[in-house]
Amino acid sequence: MESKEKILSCLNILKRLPPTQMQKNAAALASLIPDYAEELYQKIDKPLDIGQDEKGNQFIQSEFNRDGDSFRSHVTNQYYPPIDDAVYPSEALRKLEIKANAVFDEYKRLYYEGGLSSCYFWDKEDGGFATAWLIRKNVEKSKGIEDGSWSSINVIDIKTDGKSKWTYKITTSVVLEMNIVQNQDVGKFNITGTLTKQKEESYEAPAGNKDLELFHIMKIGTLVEDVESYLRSQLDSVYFGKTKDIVFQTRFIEGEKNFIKQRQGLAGEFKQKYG
Amino acid sequence: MNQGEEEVTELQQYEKVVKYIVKNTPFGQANLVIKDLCKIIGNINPQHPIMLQALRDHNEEHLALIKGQNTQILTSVLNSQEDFYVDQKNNETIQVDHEKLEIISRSQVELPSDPELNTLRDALEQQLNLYLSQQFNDKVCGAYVMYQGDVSDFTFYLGITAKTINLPNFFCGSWISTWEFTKTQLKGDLRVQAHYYEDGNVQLKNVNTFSEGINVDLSAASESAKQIVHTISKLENKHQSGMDNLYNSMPDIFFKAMRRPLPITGTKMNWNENVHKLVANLKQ
Repeated sequence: MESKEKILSCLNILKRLPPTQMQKNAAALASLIPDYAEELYQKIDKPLDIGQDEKGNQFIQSEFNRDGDSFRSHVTNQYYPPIDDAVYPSEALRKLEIKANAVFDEYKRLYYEGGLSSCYFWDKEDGGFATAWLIRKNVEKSKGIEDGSWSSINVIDIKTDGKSKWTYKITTSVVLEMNIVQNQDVGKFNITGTLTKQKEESYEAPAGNKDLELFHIMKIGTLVEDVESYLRSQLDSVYFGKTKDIVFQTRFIEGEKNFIKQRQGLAGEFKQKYG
Repeated sequence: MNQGEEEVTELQQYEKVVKYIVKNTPFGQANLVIKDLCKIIGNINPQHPIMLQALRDHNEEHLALIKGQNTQILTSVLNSQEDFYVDQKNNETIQVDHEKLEIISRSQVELPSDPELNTLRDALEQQLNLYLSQQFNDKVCGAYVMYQGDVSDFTFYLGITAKTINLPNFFCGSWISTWEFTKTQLKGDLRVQAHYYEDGNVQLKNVNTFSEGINVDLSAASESAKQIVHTISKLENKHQSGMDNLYNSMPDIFFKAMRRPLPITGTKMNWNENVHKLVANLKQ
């Protein structure tokens, strides 16, 4: 199908461009395929925006709490700017949402020591439900970093087999930026990165479905914690470090190229003698 | 507005987007991006003038290395003319294929030149080639030296670049530095880029500028060239050393400040305890 191919080409291109410019890059590509723009926007991960209600309480704005140009606050359950005929979670789901936000706030405090978190739930047609657990953290002007930001987007799809088995499927994306505006040794230095992981787990519900809501929150929370920790570790130890490796194999520090050649020469000799 | 005019405006819109996308593409991936842009726009191929112009701009900005049978040239904004590039040293104009990075043809041309400045240029080229061989990735690296003016008032332009392109393993990198000097002043711009996209997408963009007082003695070309290239290598070494320090401190000054690997307690969150406690608090 033509639209699938064009969207795939857009996603291919977006993967080659800086991830924190995602909004701008996606908009540029969407202008080439205006009929499929909405579809494209739903497939991208970009840094999360923050909105405010009338009392100044903040909430995260995302695709998962958006209706048209308005966003629903996890605090008040209202849309800003206000709209009629908007989409709301069912009463039962809203109750779960309030509890989840309270617990996730504690998770955010433990791991992020700051930042903003929001959980949004929505009903699904197959009888299950889904939820997005979001975190936006900024780091400003500390230890030489001019600014930095972290956005994590955890989307969990929850299904039951109708009896007592619950299946949780999580897709987590992290979008990260570190920016140094002026450093006396390296000038202007900017690294941006995004990484995604999926995981699926199934559990037996507690006997008699006792405290089912708390059960969901625990299971979802544990998954979020595991996958976020994994992605953080990957970005730190593998991905960011890889950019250094790439630079250092493009230009070698003084003496190193010679050293490598010598070592390769010795290895060659060894192979010849004993290989 | 008739059909022809409508098409022109649409094309202008495409041109703007194409230019922007290709400009921000890491060096080594432009051909792939252009292929995808053609698929998105439809009814257009990589040889369309819009695509070729975007590719040309991209190559010139990244000092693309174009190879011939026994010669090579770096394409830059500086030596770029309408249809060809100027090779000052060999008194040639060169036509290139930007897609294949190959030299298509060369023609002899008469260019203004000054014997003393030529001597310095040749000495600089020798020193730069030595510098490249000592510290840069052999696979794709090159340098250029050009000058303008005469012995009483001259400006020399130098370009140094090396690229790492490893598409099967999903990574690319560029080191691009451009320099100019007069009798008393050396100025430089450095761009360092890296891109790794196996599963994820991580990009480094690093920019720095340099300025240093020098004294060029045209009568001692060999010595002058050594000093200038030595100054350049000293500044680039310092920059790279700074990068090393920055990367070493990144886990502490950046990642930890962003998200702890574990809570300060040293253990993972106790969901059971927290869920019961916090939800009970809600009811109050």
